[in-house]
Amino acid sequence: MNPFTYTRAGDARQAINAFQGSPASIYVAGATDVLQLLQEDVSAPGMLIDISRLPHTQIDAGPGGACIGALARLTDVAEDENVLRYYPMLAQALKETASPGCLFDQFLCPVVIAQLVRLQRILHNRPGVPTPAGRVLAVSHGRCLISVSPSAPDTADCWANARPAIRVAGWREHISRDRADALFSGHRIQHLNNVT
Amino acid sequence: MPRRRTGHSAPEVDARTTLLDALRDRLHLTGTKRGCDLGQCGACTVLFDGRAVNACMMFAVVAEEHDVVTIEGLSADGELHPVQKAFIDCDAFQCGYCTPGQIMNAVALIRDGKAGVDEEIREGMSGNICRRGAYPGIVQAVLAAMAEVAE
Repeated sequence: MNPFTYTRAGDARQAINAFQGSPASIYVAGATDVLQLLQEDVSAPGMLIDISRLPHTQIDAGPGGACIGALARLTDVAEDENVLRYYPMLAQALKETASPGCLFDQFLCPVVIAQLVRLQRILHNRPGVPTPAGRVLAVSHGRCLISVSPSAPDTADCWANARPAIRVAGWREHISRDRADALFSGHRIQHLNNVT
Repeated sequence: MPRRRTGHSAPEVDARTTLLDALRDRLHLTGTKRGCDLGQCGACTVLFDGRAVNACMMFAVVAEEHDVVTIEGLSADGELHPVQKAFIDCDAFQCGYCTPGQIMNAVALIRDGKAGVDEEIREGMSGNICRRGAYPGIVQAVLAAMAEVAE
């Protein structure tokens, strides 16, 4: 395992400053998933920025959409009453990922996405099974975007019409300081064009 | 490094040191076992702020100032924890290597109220592998401990 430094961010701005000041840095919450990549020399960051103590653990889900903080734990999201009620597919996908880590984790996100895709495929191929609530919208270069609109149509139209969505903040992004909290607290995205 | 209920001092460790290595090699708390070292067998399960985690899958520096409880810290005043007693009473082990991890996970399950029925326990304990196949006894022990805690 290559050597790296470790720093703990007290708030979102500290995290952003550390990130922008060190090109080879990555954010971690529990570092469970990145640990395995480091052990196998798959990844070799120069610095781990621990954001686990940031307060953004909120889970705000309802019939109109969901907003999930970057530090919300997968198990907490999967067991949230409103997530279970309105977005059962998302809950099931999260429950089936073995790791108890956070959605924020940029390495775990693809696992969650893969679960959603797999579940969607399984459910879609079963006659009589209602269209699953939840659509995978975009996965590219570590970016993850999950639509959890309960009314998302099971066609390509959802790409144009999907709203609202969960934005999982787990990718390298340069943002202004006044948006630092928004990065980790999650926010709704009304149109797919906003993130492409 | 983590604080422990039994009050071990926190050693300086390299950022690459896992919590498991710090516990076993630096603090000499060898009750936490190394199994697969891949986060798949559960032998190294400890409580991290009350949640069951695999110590092999966590850097020690991440645990700094957090509450980490190992199997050594479970008993109080020389008296075994109810889950420890239940494992003995139900003969829930054979070689015993996985037992510390099994017990720590069971403690977390019971605390979370997820140990009510067989199926729930088997699902909740599925991350802890027993090569000797002592699962019937383990489920029985968790049920018994849950009942005692409920009282």
